[in-house]
Amino acid sequence: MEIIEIRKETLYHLGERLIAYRFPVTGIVLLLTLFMGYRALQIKMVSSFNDLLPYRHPFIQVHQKYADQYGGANNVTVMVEVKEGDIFTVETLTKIYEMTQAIDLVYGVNHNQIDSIGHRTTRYLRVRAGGTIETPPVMRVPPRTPEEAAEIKRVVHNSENIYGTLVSLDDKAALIRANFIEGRLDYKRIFDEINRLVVEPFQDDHHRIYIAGEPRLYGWIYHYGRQAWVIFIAATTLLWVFLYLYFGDWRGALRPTITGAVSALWGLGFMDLVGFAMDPLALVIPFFVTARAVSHSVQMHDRYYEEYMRNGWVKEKAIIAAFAELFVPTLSGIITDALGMLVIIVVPVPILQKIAIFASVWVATVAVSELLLNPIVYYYLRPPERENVERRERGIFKRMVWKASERVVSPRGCWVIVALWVGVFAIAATQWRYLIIGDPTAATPLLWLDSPYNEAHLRIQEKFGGVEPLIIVVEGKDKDALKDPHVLKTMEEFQEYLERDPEVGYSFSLADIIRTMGMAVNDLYPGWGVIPNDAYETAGLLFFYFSGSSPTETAKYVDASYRHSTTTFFCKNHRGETVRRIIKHCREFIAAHPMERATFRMAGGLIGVTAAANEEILRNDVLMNGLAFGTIFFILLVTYRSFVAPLVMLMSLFLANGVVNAYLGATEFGINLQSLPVVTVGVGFGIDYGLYIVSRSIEEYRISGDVAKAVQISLASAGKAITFTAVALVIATLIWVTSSIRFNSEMGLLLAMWMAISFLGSVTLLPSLLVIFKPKFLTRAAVTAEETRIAERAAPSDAAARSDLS
Amino acid sequence: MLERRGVPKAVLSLLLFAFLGGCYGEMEEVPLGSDLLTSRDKFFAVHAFGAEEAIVCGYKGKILRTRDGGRSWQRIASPTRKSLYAIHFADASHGWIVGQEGTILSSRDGGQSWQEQSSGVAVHLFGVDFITPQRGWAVGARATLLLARDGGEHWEGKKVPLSSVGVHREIAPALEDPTYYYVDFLDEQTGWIIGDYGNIRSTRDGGVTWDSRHASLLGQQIRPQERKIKDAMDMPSFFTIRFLDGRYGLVTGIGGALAETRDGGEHWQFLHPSLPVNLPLYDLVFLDGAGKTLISGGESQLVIHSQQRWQVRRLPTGLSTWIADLDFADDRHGWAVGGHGTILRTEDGGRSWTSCGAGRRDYQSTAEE
Repeated sequence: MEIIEIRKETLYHLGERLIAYRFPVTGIVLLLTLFMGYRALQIKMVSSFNDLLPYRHPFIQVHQKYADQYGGANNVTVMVEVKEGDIFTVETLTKIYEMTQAIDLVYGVNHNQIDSIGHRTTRYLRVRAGGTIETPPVMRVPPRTPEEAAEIKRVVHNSENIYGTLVSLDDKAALIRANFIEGRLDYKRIFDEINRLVVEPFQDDHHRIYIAGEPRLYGWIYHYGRQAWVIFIAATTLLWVFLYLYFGDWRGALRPTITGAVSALWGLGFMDLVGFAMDPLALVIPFFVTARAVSHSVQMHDRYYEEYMRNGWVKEKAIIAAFAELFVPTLSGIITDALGMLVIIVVPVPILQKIAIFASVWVATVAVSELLLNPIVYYYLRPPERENVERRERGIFKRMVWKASERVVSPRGCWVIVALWVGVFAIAATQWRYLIIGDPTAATPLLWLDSPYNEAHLRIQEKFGGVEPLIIVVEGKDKDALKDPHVLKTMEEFQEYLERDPEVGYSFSLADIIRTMGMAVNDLYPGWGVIPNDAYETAGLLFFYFSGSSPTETAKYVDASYRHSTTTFFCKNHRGETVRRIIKHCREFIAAHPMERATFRMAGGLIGVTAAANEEILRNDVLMNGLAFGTIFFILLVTYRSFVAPLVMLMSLFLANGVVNAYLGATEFGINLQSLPVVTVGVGFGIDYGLYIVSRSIEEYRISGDVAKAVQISLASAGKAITFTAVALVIATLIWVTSSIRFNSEMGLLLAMWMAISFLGSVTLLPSLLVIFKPKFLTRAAVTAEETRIAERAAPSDAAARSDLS
Repeated sequence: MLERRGVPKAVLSLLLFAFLGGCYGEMEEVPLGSDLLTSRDKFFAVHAFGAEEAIVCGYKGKILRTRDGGRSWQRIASPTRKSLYAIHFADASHGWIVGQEGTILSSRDGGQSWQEQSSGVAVHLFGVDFITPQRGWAVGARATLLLARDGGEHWEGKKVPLSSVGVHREIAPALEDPTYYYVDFLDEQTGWIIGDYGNIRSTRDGGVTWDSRHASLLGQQIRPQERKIKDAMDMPSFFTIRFLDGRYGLVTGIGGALAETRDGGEHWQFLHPSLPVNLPLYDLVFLDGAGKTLISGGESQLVIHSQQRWQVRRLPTGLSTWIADLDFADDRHGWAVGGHGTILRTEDGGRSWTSCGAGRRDYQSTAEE
């Protein structure tokens, strides 16, 4: 008890000191803020693909080792589709040829990893009557006559590596696939240059051009990025209006803005200082952090008005009282938020670790304005109008909250509420198993289903069956290992095995080349299309195929010393479940088929990289949740010096979390790299609210000695501010739902959900639990009820509350 | 109140457990598709037992059988993982399959079960023919010719002397050991084998001596506008030979090579129907008492000769592929097999075909006229 009181005294003292030393404090904060603000202006909007890779995962190590040769995860796929007839006309083939040349000019393209019937590396096998074999490009130059176009059609129809993969089986569409070098990924530039060089010059009434692939997707997100600012401003403005309506004066709207702005400048300035860039997909995080800042300052401001009335309209007393009484819950709340975000750092994915660092620092800077600047700001601000404060106390909102809180703490009410929550939780629990790690649908969840990108993506999938690569590297133990028939046969068997998965469209490996060559050099007789039993024969066949091509052209199949190659599977989508299942099948096959001279190494391509990310999330999920809850537990333990306090408060948090997780499951919301930070930091929402409720309840119990009454007053004061914050933020957050970026929209909805459910939990379930269990940490302060100073301060408020509301 | 204090802890630990454990559901198991028929299958041979019944064999030892016109297929246990290239039944119950690296299988129960026989060779065997359940021949790579007199319990190697047709000193070394793709015996004495370098060989004494019968092709053109055949190096590889009777016969081969004889094989004449350039022609059947000839080729093409007219049409295989083998139960009911798991069936003598194999990525198109 004494400790608490000493602490309170100190806090009152601290408040006074801050006002006394307002010039140096303001000066230093202002200077620092100016500096941070200058740095904040330098911040860049950049996504780095490498940041999305869980660098410690073995798949990523394989991916990074071989991506240069066999293609990474950054493919842009352009599909040219004719509206009528087929693509084998002089006009369309010329177009495909020229578009292929054009994509070669786009910044960052890997010139040896372009797949198109118009590219020099796409070759076919020609067996002349005399037995000579050639592998010329399909189109060295565009065709000039319909006869030449018809000849290209024949070539395409007879080349297993082209027909169905680069030209659709109905002859109506052709693909141009280009791989981009990871170090040179400039999504915006790629987006603009593809539009300018590859799309615009070739658009006409007879063709449709579709473009998909990860770099294109990010290009679109940048494209919509500007809109995010409009939404941000709209949401902020709306919040302003709400604040004005709630506090009844402009000062009420200004105070949270100061906190939000100062912390934003510090947060962004910090990001720039440590060299982080802003990812457009991480834009919800600043909004989220700002929401916390607003939530804290609304509490403070509401309390200030309350104290102003209670302290007989003496401004300075009110400032210090509000500061001192809210110091502990505010600080605990900020620390919880900051540490809650910091736990994301355990997932070894750079983008998540960066988010963890900058978001936690950003949240921590809320303390600068709330706990350092706050008394000074109030000192300079004109005090609220007396009539305004009184009007608010009598206002309809306050009366509604009072009535509702009466129900909550009533003996029947609290049991009904607990029963309701347990019921909802039980129903929610049934939905958890639908939680998805990874993307929930074949289309990208980042954009809307009817967005041009998803339309293109789905159209291409529809025409070609599978365009998303999973690259399994076959790593030989010595030179020429890839000529070993056993290795080749195992690769083929792998293909046969995995192609039986319904989401694997087709696959390709050196084994396919061997078989095709076997037939080609032996009279085109089908029976020769088998993998020979003899390494000399396989070597001969490979020599036939690759002779006459430059090493850069053959590099995408095998390295020059035949030490390593790939088995590539083209999958129909990268849904979380698909990826997990395909990878599981891969692991099973590889374990059951050891090879003497080579090993299969997983995994590159979009599917491999996605699998690594999903696995990393899953692996760290329990750890992350444990750390998040552990942190909260510890902070509550310190704050209230009680084991029961965190248990009671966490219980309501658990129930709220359970319901949100059910929402995630029921709506098939995939937990991926982008949504994980939001999902994780959302946990902390409820605890802020809980801290204010519990702290105020303890205060009030000291005065009244009645748990139900203390909780009710807490609900009517702190709870009222929470109610306002929650309602205002939920509505403001819902503006994000209008975003063209589906991810931002859904994250907005999710955040709104999270705030709403956490709010409901902390104003219904938590008070009910307090009333039912009457925990000791709440009641042990009763002795101090006689404490004169507090009693004195409390008297007017008590009287006011009774007289106004009875 | 004090007694109650343990309650939240207990409830909480339960919830904690449920939360951490129950968060992510188990993976929904989608089983791998069946490997009975896939687009990676290659069927090299088919034998029709009847209108509704057939057996096919192919890549990596796969043998399938249908009894309901191809609506369903049963896998027949195969003693080998080697590819199986040709199938022949001497009667309703005795059959043989030859294949990769000297593989020979035999069945005595109409193809229900197969046992491996010892061929004594390790080269690919591409053709097999039994004139009785005891006496049969097999041919293959490196000029291999095998004879069985006891149903295949023992196979003996036979020598076919090199042909001298169109052979001169410079090219002679290259012409050694041609691959023989097909063997066809009309009776115990008379038989034909064909293969690389235009080899058309026949015996009239049950395989003791073999004559070259393709000299008449020298100086001819395989295709119009192509240069005339000067020597054996210019000769096409032949894949199939069939006789309608003792006199009329056809051979098919690489690069659109198609030749007929009207005098029992003394003279051969290249035919020049209008075909896609370089189209390999793999198998042929005579229907309606030779009123109609069907020839299967590469690129999913079927060449039909009927009422003095040649037609080329594309079979509904989805992805373009070779059609290695044709077999008919009668003039109307027949089968065609090929790459990418292609099995096709006709009920109207080859006018229309339906796919009953694996369609690559479910693509099924109808036959184009």
